[in-house]
Order: sequence, then structure tokens, then C-alpha cells
Amino acid sequence: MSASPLLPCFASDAFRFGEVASMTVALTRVETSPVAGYLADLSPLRKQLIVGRGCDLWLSSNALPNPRLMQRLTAEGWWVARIGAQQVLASGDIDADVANRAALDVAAPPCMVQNYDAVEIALGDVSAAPLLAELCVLDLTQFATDAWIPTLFAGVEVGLYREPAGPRYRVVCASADGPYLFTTLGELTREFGGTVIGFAEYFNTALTGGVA
Amino acid sequence: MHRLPPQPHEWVTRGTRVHFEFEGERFTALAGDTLTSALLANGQRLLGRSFKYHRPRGVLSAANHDANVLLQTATRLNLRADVEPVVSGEAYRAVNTWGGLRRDWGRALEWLAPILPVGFYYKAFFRPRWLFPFWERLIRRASGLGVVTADFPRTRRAARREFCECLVIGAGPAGLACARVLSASGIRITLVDENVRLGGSLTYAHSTDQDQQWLAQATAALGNASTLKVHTGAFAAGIYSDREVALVSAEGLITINASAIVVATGAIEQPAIFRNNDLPGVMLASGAQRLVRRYAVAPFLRGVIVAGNLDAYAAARELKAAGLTIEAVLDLDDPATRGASANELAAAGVRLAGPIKQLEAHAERAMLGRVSWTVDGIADSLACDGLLMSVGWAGATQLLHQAGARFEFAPTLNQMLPGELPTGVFAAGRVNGRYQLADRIGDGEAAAREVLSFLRGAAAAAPRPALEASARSHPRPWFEHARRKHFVDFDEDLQLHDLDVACREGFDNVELLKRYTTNGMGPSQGKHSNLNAARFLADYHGQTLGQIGATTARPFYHPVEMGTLAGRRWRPQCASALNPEHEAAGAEWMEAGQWRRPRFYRRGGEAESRLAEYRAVRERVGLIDVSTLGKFEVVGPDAARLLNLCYTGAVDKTALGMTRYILMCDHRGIIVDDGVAARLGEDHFYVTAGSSHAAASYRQLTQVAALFKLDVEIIDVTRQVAAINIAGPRARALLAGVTQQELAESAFPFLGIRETVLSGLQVRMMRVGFVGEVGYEIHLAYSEARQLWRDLVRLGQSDDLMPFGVETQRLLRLEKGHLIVGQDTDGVMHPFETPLTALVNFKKPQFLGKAALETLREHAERVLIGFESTHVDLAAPIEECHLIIDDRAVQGRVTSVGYSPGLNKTIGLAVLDRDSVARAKAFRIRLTNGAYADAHLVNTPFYDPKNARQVAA
Repeated sequence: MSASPLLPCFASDAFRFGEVASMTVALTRVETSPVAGYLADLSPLRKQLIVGRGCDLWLSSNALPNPRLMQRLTAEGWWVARIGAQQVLASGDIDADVANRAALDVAAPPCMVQNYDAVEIALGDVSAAPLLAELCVLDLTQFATDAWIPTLFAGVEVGLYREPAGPRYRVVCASADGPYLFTTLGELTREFGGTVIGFAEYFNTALTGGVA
Repeated sequence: MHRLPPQPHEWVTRGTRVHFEFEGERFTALAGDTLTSALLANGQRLLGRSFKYHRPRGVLSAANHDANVLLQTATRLNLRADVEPVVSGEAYRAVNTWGGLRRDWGRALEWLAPILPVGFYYKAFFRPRWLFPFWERLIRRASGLGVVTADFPRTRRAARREFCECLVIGAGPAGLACARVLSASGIRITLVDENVRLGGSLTYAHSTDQDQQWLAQATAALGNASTLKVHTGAFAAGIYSDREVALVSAEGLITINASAIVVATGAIEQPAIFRNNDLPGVMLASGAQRLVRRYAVAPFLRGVIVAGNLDAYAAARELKAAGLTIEAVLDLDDPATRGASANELAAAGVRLAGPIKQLEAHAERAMLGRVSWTVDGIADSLACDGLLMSVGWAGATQLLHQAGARFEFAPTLNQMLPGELPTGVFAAGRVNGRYQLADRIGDGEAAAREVLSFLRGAAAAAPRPALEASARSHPRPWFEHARRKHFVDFDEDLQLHDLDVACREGFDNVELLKRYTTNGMGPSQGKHSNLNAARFLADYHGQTLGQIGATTARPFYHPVEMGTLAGRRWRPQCASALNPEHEAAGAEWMEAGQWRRPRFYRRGGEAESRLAEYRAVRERVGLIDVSTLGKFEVVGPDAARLLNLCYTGAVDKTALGMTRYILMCDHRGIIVDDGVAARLGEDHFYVTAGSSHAAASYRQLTQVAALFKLDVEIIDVTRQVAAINIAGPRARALLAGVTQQELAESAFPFLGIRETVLSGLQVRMMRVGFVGEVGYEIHLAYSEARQLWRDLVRLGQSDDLMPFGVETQRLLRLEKGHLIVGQDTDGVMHPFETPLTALVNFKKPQFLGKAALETLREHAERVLIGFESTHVDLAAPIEECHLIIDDRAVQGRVTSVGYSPGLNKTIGLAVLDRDSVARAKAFRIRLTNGAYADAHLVNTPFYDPKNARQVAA
């Protein structure tokens, strides 16, 4: 059993916790209400890092799209972002990777596939724009929704992408940076009229107006 | 009261009154008043004291262009009264007064003026030398503006970022015209103005119906623009590279990134220089106009205007129309040359005189009471309480200077104008030398078209309006006076005489003149003094203003509060996954770079707690969180080659499933890091680095990989992977209960690495021995670390397993003689001064630092050694960095030291001159209290010298 790196950021008496993909995470607030802006921990959405000259072949073997550098593409529940010349970050159904990895020919170009322990945060709606104005040196509204954007938030290295609808973003950072970043984002979210919500609430379209 | 009847478009709200205190006296203001306007409306003309001589001062510009009126409250400092709104119930007082504004006894300094000339601190007070500290304390007490106390509340100001395609700075006629054209084209614009309302000079001058109608239309047109953002009451403090602009307001700081910038910041009216030109009552004509039109305040009852251009006559006309009494216009030139403007005033009963000489203001009870002058040698004077100066303008070019613009002298205008501008920066309006209202509007529109051409490749821009044929600024607006008190720089109490002295002393360059005299170095940064000083210098040397040039303006345009610059405080921290476990176990924390680590776990007193941890590791089993270690996956055909280049050893010789202790040196051969390289595959290594050097090691690896174009990927997993070290005689037995991995020495030897499953979790285990017992360093996913830690603690209860902290770890590794890079090594230590010489493999063709090390190995002047001492004194212990002294010469220093409970002695590491080690094995260490402790050299390790315990079967 694993625990979300952001678990210490959630007050034990204000949230209900549970398991998603074998990871303990805050699921819902004890007292739920509609939110105008949100911040959520989506760390149970596991990721894999594929590294090496063989990463293109691995992607095609798994019928996954092959993005160019700093691009993120989606396909049937997966998204794939190329974060380096021979480094790809993928998020989606991870159970398929082990079998597919074994299916690669031994003569194929080398490729290392590893589970990538990282924090993923969703933020959006009314609190997103003023929060990003304080944290980010980039004009994120000018990036296409298929861009993978490496930048700094409050001094922390993050990679992020825009969601198609509204001022909504997904932010990925290293696990050890997660608690500080999430705490900082939480303070700003509340200051700008948003609410920290649970994993399950994020996917509750009635609550978040069609976020997921 | 000096409140006028309602003025068209005034900025005050008549129905709302605000009460406040100033210097202990109660006053009433209207909502919308600034402190300056409110005080003048109440007839309070004495508003401040000057910096050096504590001379009485009043309003000058009413535009925040000067620092005559700086006030403070109990919680805020150096408030700029010209723009600071009155806060109901607040108590204000002037800064820089000793005993209050009226009775300021600092004015006695003026009697010392003869011995306080320009640069007096270079010439006086340093003899006799013994007396200088007294003068220094006195001068320091006398200098500065305002008093800071620890009682000031802590406030947090927002600091955010905005983006636009075009930033227009200044919302006067040129800026509004520019913004209107741009907004119609759909460009994303931000328009900023330091005043609380748009309009610039149209809000205090140009009072015709036609002018005001244009303003209303322009403002309304902008109100409909969806791509326009407006910031009023905010000033552009500086322009930085890549067209980044810092915008400052009461709310905080906004950094604006723009693709193009239009600077339409207007012009700053300049003062005339004459005796007593700083008296309360002497002000700029535009300052009076601002007070009248914006705040409906009459700043005087009987006014006289000193004229150097036609703007003076226009000001006189408008002020009379507002109901003020203008007694006379004293022209620096012949009024007959002013044409219809002069005739109109004369017809209205205003006396015209000129060309005037020997202008002088006279005080009555420290306020302006009279003005005198001569024309054709005939002296004359008038009683007045307002003397308005309108002799010329200086473009507000500071932001253009910061952007890198070059300037050219326009002789017809007698002004420096922007010539070559940086790419994407444009100028419009009075800052660009256009003064007629129609020209300013046309110039703004032309600038907009140039912006469109720049951003969108639109059609070529229209030409700019032609420059006027006559100067707006008088070339020599000063009057010498034998009794001086003719101020050039009001901030610094700098007089014309001071400039003359500086010139005669040889400071003949505008930059030298500035620094020697401090001209332009006060809070207003020369807005009213730089031009006149440059003119004086040009006149002194018989040169033109263009030949003299100007000093370089740098940020900030106005002073900015430190709190605004601070904004929110970002202090990134890394958190180990195990921090909640440490907290629950009673950790006493320490900072380790961006991390926090347990120093020890409290189970009573500190000494008792640490002893318990020590005994647990030596006798049973202990657990320590080492997640702060740097960790890198090095993958690819050139992985071994990269590591061979970056580290001193033959990393490529590491067998599959084994680790190797590695050392990194820089190009000078200096030790910078150590770690472990584990071989997981032919082309796959897992490398650890010291906690404090992780980021630098990662950078080094990537740089070398790029430099040599290696086919390798380096992934920094320092903050994704947790690490736990379990050590002690019972470690192996405990782990055997939760893994299928064979742990016998034959199957999993010392320095081996295995990828396996431990307690149901995928881990990498390394047999490494930092503390000298059987130990395993377990690396696993961050999100699973807490589960493993809890499992091990639970399983270890029967063995009385104990978590141990950094202090205990340091002692344990010291007993084994293991060094810590950065503590036992310094910025010049190389491997041949340490026991690590075997880690340097010169057979490799190339590695970082090889060339330097080939020389250094023959020139090792120091040596890192182990020592023991019987000195055990808790009150005066041997400590790190204590010096080793022999015959009054420093031989070395202690790098690590501690009392070993197991060995019952003090042990340590020290770096010593090689010669002294060769001479004697005993030495003396000087303690903090000056006493000496005896110590002697010993071989390391101190504990288990045969390393039997680390490799126990």
C-alpha cells in the first residue's frame, strides 16, 4: 500500500480518505459544497518514464502516440509527453506496460521503463488565473493545449499542461517537492476564492462542472 | 480655508469629510484629497523640512516629482504626500524634524552652512583622527529620512505577473490617443498611469471645452475595448531586459511582460533657481494648476508667475479663470515677444515685467512674503504668498534611459529628445518633444501605427508631427546671488554655488559632478535638478547641452517600499516521505539544505537519547532516513563512459550487481563529491551523491554528457525515490523475515546491489557500510517508503530497533574514519591529502581533474589524519574547526570530533601540515576558552579496524 505524497497536507478531520490504484489519497471533503475554484491531489494517477533510444519503439508497440519534444498527446485514457530527446512521460493504464515491455525484441534499441513516482495536482476555475499570476513567469494562456510546459512554481520545478476547457491545469512535480508546493497552492487557492477538494470530488462533474 | 468652489471634473467628493491629524493638530479634508491638497486647503503651508539644513518647505510640484513633503505615521514611513490619500483618523507628522515641524531645532545646521560645503565630508572632520568616530556618529544620526521601528506591522503585498502585446505607459493625450488606436485593432493592451484618473495634463491644464470633450471621448472609447486593461494609481518603476516592466501600486508589484512598449510619460516642469526659491509658497505653475483643478484648492491668495515660456502665460490665464489672483508675470525675456498671450493678460490687469534680473524671494515668518527683481537695473518688488515657476520642461525620459534609448539634443526645443530606441520601444508626446495638444495626440496615434507595424507587420506608419520651431524651455533659468540660498536640488539642499565649487575643483563631467555634489541622488532622483545642473555645467564650459550629455537614469523611477519588492516569500522545501514518522517518534529537527532531517529522537535528554541510538546500532539494529541523498539513473550505451569521465575511479569495471565507492573532483583536482555507483545492467547504472551536492553533481553529469555528445540519459530521481538505511548486528536477520532475497554473504556480498521485493514492495538494496555494521541501504518509491518504515519498525520491536538521527550517524561513521565531503574536506583539498588516493585511477585516458591531479599527487602539502584524545570535558569540549597550534604556529584544524562511548575516548579527524605530521605524532588543540587539549595521531578506522563487523556472515 502506498500513500500520496500530499497526504500530510490534508487535515484528517476535514477529509475522508481511501484507496485509488492502491494509493491512499484524500477522496472527499467531509462537508461538500459547490466550488468556484479548486485544487485537487491526483497523485494516484500513476506515471511511467520511458528512457532511451528505444522509447519510440516502445510507444508504437503499445499503440501510443509519439509526441515531439515538449508536446503532449492523448489516446484512449493515456497521455504521453516527450520531456527530453529520449525521455517520455506517460500516464494511464499502467497494467499493460509489463507485458508490452517483455514483448520488445532483444535486438531492439535499449529502453528503460520505470514507474515514475510523482505528484499530480489539478487546479482551475476562478482561483487559477490570479494564482498563476503570482506563481508563474509564463503566460500560460498562450500555450496550446497539447504543449508540455516545464517551468517553476514558487521555486519548484514543475511540468504542466492546460486542459481544453476553461482556466484549468494539471501540474506534475517530484514527490519530495509536493507537500511544499501543494501547501503553497492551497493557501493561494483559498485566498482567491477556491477550495481544496478530494480526488473523487474532482471527477464529480456535478461538483466541478464537468472538469473530468 | 483655501477651498475653491467646485471645479469641473474635480477629484474630490464634496459630500464626504475626512478627519486627520498633522503634527498634533486636527484637520478636515474631503474624500479624494491627498495629504498635500488637504493641508493646503486648511491653510497649512509649512509641510516639511529639508534634508541637510532643515529649511522650511512647502508644496513644489503636487505631482510626486519632488520629495518636499514626506510624512510618516506610527506604522508607515516616507509617505509621498502629493499622491498619498488622506486616511480617516490617521495621525501624520513630517519626517526629518528634530522637535517637531515648527520648532525643528535642526534648522540650526543652516548656521553651519559655511563649513558644510559640497563634499564637506571629503574635506573636514577627519582631523584629528581620534575625533572622527564622534563626527561619524553625529553625521549618521543626522542623515536619513524617517524613523523605522520594530513596531511596524508586517504586511504582505501581492507580487504578480501580467502579459500584454503592448504596454502604454502614461495616459495623457499621447498615451490615450495611442491606446485608442491600438485597442481598435484588437491588440491586447495594458495602459498605466501613476495618477488615479486618466488624462494626464488634461486634468489640470487645457481647460477648454474642446480639450475636455476630446478627453471624455477618448476615455469612453477605451471603456468599450475588450482587449484593454487599465492600471491607474500605479507607476512604472523600471524597464528591464526583454521588455519587462515593474509596475508599483499601493496593492503591490505587477511585473508586466510586453511585446512592445510605448513610453508616453510626458514632461516634468523645471524650477527656476534664485535666492530662496525653496520657501513655502514658491512652487511650479503646474503644481498650482493641479491643486486648483483636481482638488479645488487655492494654494495662494496673491500669486506672481516667473515665466520662461508661453506655458507660463497659459497657466496665468487658467488660474485667473479659476478665480485666483495673479498679480504679475515676471518674464526672463521681454514680455513683448510673447504676443497675444501677454496682451491678454495685460488687458486683464496683470502686470508684466521683463527681462528680469536678480530675482529673489523674501520670507515673512519663514513663508514666502514678497518677491523682488530688477529690470534694466531698476529694482522692484511685490507682496505675494505664491510664486509660480514656469520656465521649462524636461522630458520624463527615465524609463527610456533604462530601456537603452540614446538621446540627441534638439537645439530648437533646447531639450534632449529620444533618438535611437531599442527594438519594440516607442516614445510619444511631450517625452518625444511634442507640446501642442494636437501634436501630442498625433504623435500618440503615429506611435500606435508603428507598434502595429512592429507587431503585426501592418502598413508603414504615418510620419510624426513636426517639432515646434521655438523652445519650450529657457536655456538659463538661474540667477546668481552673493548671499546664495539658490537651490538646484531641493532633496539635497544643493545650491548653485555648490555646482560652481565643484566645477572649479575640476569635476567637469556630468557624471562626476553628480557624484561629487550628490545632485540628483535624493528621493526625486534629479527630476527637478538634473537638467539645470547639466545646463550650468554646459554654460560653465561654454558647451551645449548636447555636448555635456546627461547622467544615466536607473530604476526606480520613484522610491519603492522594500515590502513591495519582497512580495510573498517563496522558500521551497523538500519533504521526506518519512517526516510524519519522524515527527511521531519525537524527532528534534535540523535543516539540511532544502530538507529537514532528524538530528536525534528525543527519549529523555539529548545526551541520553543519542547514547541510546548509538547503542542500538552497535548492539542491535537501527534505522535512518537517508532520502536526502542524490540519486540518478544513468542509462544508455555511453553510461559507463560518462561515469568514467566524471569520477576518478574505473566505474566501467564495476561488475553487474555490484557497487563501487566513487569520488568526483573538479577540473582543479579538488574533491567536490562522493557517492556510490551501482551497476544494474550493461548500460544502466544507479548513482548516489552527497545530499548537499546532488544538484551540482547532476549538472556536472549532464554537462559532460553534452560536451562529449554521449549517448546516455541521466534522470535525477533524488526527490522521487526514498532511501532507508538499516544497520546493526541484527539487520540481516530482521530483513530475512520480509524478503525472499537470499541475504547470506555468499549470495549478497558486501557492496552488492539487488533489485528485489521487501515487505511486498519493489526495492533496490545495497550492501553498504557507512556506520561500520552490517547494513543495507534500501531505495524505493517515495509513496511506498512510509509503509516500509512502519513494517520495519514493527518487525524490529522484538530487537528493540531504534530510529537514529544525523548526530548519531556522524559519530558512528567517525568511528569508522569515513570522511564527509564538505566537512572533512575543504575548498582546496584533493584526494592525495586524504586516505582516498586508491580511488584515483590514472590508467584511465581521461577524467575530470586528471591533469591537475597528476601534478598534485607530487605536491600534497597537507594530510587528513585520525586522532585520539583523553580530553573529555562537556563544558569545554574539542570542537570542529578548533586549531592545532604548535610553537605559536597554526599546524592545522579539527574537521570532525566526538566522544565515542564504545571506545571511551574522544576521537576525530584533522587536517594537518604534512611536515608537522612527519615531525611528531602528538599535538595540541586550542579550545574555545583558550586552553589546550593534548591529542595524538592514530590510524583509522578507530572501530573494528579489520572491518569484520561490516562483512559478518
